[in-house]
Amino acid sequence: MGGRVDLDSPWWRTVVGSTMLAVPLIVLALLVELFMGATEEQVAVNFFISLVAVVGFGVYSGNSGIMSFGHVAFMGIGAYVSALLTMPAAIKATALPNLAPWVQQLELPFVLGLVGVAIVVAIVALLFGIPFARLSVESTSVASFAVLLIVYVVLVASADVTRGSQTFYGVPPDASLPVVVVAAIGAVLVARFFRESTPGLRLRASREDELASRSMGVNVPWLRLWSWVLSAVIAGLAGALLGANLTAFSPKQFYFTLQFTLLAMLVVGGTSTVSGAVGGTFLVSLLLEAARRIEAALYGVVIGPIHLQAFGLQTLTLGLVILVVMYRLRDGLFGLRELDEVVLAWWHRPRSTPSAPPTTPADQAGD
Amino acid sequence: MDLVAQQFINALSLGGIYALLALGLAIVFSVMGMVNWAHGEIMTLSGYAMWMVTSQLHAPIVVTFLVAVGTGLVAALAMERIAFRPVRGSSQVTMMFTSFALSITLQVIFQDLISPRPRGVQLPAALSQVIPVFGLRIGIIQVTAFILVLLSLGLLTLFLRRTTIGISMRAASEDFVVARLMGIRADAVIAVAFAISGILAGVAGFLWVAQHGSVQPTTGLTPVIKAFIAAVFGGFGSLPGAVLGGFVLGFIEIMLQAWLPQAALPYTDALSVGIVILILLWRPNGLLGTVTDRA
Amino acid sequence: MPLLSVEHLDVTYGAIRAVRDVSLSVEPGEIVAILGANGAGKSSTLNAIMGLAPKTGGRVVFDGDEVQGLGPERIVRRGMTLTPEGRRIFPKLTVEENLTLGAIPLRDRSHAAGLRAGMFERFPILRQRRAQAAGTLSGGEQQQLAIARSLMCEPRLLMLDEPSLGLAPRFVDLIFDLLVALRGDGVTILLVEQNVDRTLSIGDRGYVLASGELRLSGSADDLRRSTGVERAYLGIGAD
Repeated sequence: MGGRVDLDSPWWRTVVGSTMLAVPLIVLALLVELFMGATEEQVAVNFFISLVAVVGFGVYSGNSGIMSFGHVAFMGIGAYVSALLTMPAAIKATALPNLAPWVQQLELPFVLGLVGVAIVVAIVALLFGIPFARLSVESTSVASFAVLLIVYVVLVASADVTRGSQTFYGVPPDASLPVVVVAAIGAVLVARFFRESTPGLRLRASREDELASRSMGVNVPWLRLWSWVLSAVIAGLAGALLGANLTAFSPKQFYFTLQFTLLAMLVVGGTSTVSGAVGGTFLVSLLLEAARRIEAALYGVVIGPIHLQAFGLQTLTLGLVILVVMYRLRDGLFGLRELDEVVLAWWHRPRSTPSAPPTTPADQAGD
Repeated sequence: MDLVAQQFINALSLGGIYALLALGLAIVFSVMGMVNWAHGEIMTLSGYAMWMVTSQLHAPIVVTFLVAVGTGLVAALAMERIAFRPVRGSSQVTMMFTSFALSITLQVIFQDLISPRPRGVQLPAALSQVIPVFGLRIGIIQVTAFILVLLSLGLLTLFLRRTTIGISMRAASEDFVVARLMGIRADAVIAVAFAISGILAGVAGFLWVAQHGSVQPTTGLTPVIKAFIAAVFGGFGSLPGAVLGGFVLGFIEIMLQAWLPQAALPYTDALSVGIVILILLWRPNGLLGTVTDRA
Repeated sequence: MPLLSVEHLDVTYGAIRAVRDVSLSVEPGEIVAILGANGAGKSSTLNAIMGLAPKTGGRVVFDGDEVQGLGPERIVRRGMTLTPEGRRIFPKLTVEENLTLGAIPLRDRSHAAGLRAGMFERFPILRQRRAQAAGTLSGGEQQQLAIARSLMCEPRLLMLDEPSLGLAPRFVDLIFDLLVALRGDGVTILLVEQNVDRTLSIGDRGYVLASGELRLSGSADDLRRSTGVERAYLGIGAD
């Protein structure tokens, strides 16, 4: 019975749960690396970067129950900050002649660039998070759009640093497949550990019943603030990876379309679990890739009066996927339980006495 | 002095549009608990209807206005019936996502069926004229906007205070269960809420498109985000709060545009929204909000 | 024929069974009480009859017609209504507006103004407060408003959930006197109350619930006579 105590410790749950998610991810990466071409590798890199972002969103939304529509803004910040810190000084001199000299001289390695991203994003997230933490749940969701709007406007307006709405180019291509796989597994570990930790548990309890949590002395605004900052930092790192993968981008790429895509991934798998984030990201990535190929195949085809061009099949797919999930499976494909919790429940069932009801973790009973 | 007065009129006009949009959002939220992200697409649809009747039929301005409002009404009712009824009564997150997905889907449909590029909406030149009043140069469109906003707010207030269905809506926003116990039909109240929000979005769409002279798939996006922020700012779910929030946001924006140095002008939207968020730090429930838990 | 008959009612909230196999009936012109301790399932029974609680089994027949499956907004049009626990008046609406809403179920609303005048006669305090926001009224005044609002639809059956709860003694008297007067006017009453003595003194019959099940029923006099057993059973000391 001593083993059961271990099983319920946050560390153990994190390790088991993350391993169950990491193994298929590594297998997937190896398969792509060994047997597939450059196009598939690019799709896989995109998938892993999306995964970092979606898992990051989940750290806040999944645990607090508050949907954020603004996290892509942190990705934008991450992409630009990382690029500015790591780009060759020569390119900066031509692309951004008005840059402050000390930034222009910097040529940090990618890892240090990521540290810079984490610091900057944490500060920005705090600035927004402090007023947000005291708003009501629905007001926070609505206000999170303000983050997207403000950051977008600032990125476009700060032409000296970002080249404004023009393409920002010359970013070192540091986001290789191994790098993004490691990042994705790291994100899963952090997200899972936060979920199982005491603050994570308290936050999830506040999602079910905020008043009850408050009356038990849980400082809900404080927990929301810290999960907001943590999740923003993960999103910022995902943004840095995305920037390093694209190597050239503009603020528009960190606006509604991306926000919508990543939210669809979160929702399809189920917002409240890390497993859901992983599964949803995988499924939606596949669907998007299929839609992209169909769209490319149909490009320029003329059907009667309609001349097919970019007709937004990817966006339409996302919209319909979300609607189907909302109408049919509110909690997403993975529901409210982590993969390992489902597996463990299944594993334990035959061992319990036949008359006892199947065990379900009490903290997952919320409806 | 001149400049101040003119900016004042501009602020009333812009703030009025935000107020109408925010009010529509707040009405739907107050009876249904739904944050309707597709509100902007109602506005966009009104804009496209204006484009059709002006470019194809050369309709007179009054007809264009009525078409814009009528389109808003029909679009909002259709949205509620087709897209939102299946998720009625579910969690706010579910409703929010549904409307969000609908919003983006509609934008793609506009883009495919009409055009990704802006469509010009020609309104009579008289609208864009400027009339001198006591030495001030006042834009007719701004004055029209303010009058239409006042008229809409006045009519809505009368409706909510004097008619049984209006009183029912206020009751439903306070206690939906007991409202049903009074024989108030949920379908009716929600449909009326959407109808009102559609009419208001139609009026706002008319004014917005008339001032910008064109309509595109994303026309509704920015004004509605700001209207949402205005609604939160005023106190989410509070109807007077939505109106106040809309006007205050309009004022902040116009004042920033008038007095910011040239180099800082591109930051206007970021600053105005940022100021609102700062004020929320001081009043988390909004200007007129009370601590409410919809449960 | 009873005005209301409830047969084998079950009410379930998620995994919790609040009411189990409860049957009761109310004859026209009666005051019938449902008694029991907190959590006995009294309110759930009323709510289920009115279509507000999830009914998982049994039948509710009002005036010869089954009403289960109808929402409260349709049940109230059949001629029965509920004054809910905790009054639940609309606090931001005026007293007059609250009353106006009460008349919505009427098929012909042309005499609503007359009904309202009648309510002002019966509850003079409401006339004084007619333009005031209902939330500014005292508890006793709010309870009068809640009952008046229910009466605006001219119900044949009025159900009340704990109408005397938390009221000052003079308002408790007023409410019980009112119920007797209403019976005189031909309104049938089904009442949930904690105030057992007062309720049985005005009531005709009563049902006693415990843990969601029917334990006792009988005339008010019989129940009052068995009161020694009863009090222990209900877990009530002095009221």
